[in-house]
Amino acid sequence: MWLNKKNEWFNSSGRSSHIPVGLLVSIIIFFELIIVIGGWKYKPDLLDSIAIEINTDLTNTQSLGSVIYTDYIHLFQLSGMVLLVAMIGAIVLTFRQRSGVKRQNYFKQISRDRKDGIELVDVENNKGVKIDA
Amino acid sequence: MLSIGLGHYLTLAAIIFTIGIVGIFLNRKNIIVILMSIELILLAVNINLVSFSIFINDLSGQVFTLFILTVAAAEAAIGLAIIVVYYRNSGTIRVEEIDRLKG
Repeated sequence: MWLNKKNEWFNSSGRSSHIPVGLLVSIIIFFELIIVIGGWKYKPDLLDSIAIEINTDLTNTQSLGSVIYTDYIHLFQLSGMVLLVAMIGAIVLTFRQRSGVKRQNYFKQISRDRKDGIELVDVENNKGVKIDA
Repeated sequence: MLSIGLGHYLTLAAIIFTIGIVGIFLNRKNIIVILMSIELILLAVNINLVSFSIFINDLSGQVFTLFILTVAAAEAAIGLAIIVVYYRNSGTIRVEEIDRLKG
């Protein structure tokens, strides 16, 4: 099942050997990050190497737009292509032709005439008519 | 008066990053939770980029944040599509049963 009603996904009985390792690694990574943050300093010439200075006269949205649509236009187009590829990929992956689904067929409906729809039969007495489905 | 500085944002990003790592490590059942953990890691990186962008007064960090969000969206779409296809083919998406490679 996609979603089991019993909440067994978060109930880790019987296979807990990876939990201490995971916790250990996570705690190590967390404290490494904290140590990096604590001992971190600006490189003195960092402030001279600013690529695009923030102009406080404009709003954030305005200044972002004025940068994205000019300096980063190629990256912007490229990210649009990434999204397009993702969309097409998702559709191609999940699309499937189901059998046994009744669909409307416009051409068949329009091109139907009286000859196909109605058949006049002389019925013999006490015999009836056999109808082909 | 407590003022929120760069360190606070970086600590928040570190906490979120660690939550993402923990989610990947501790979860052996649900592949969707792993996808969500990867998204958490990406968001932590985004917080870092935006806070540094504000604090050194350089806009390019925010620009790259937008591109990272784009890539994260694409990755989520493809990942969910792959999960759907895998479920159709093998009937399960539980992580411990996805062992066809016998790694």
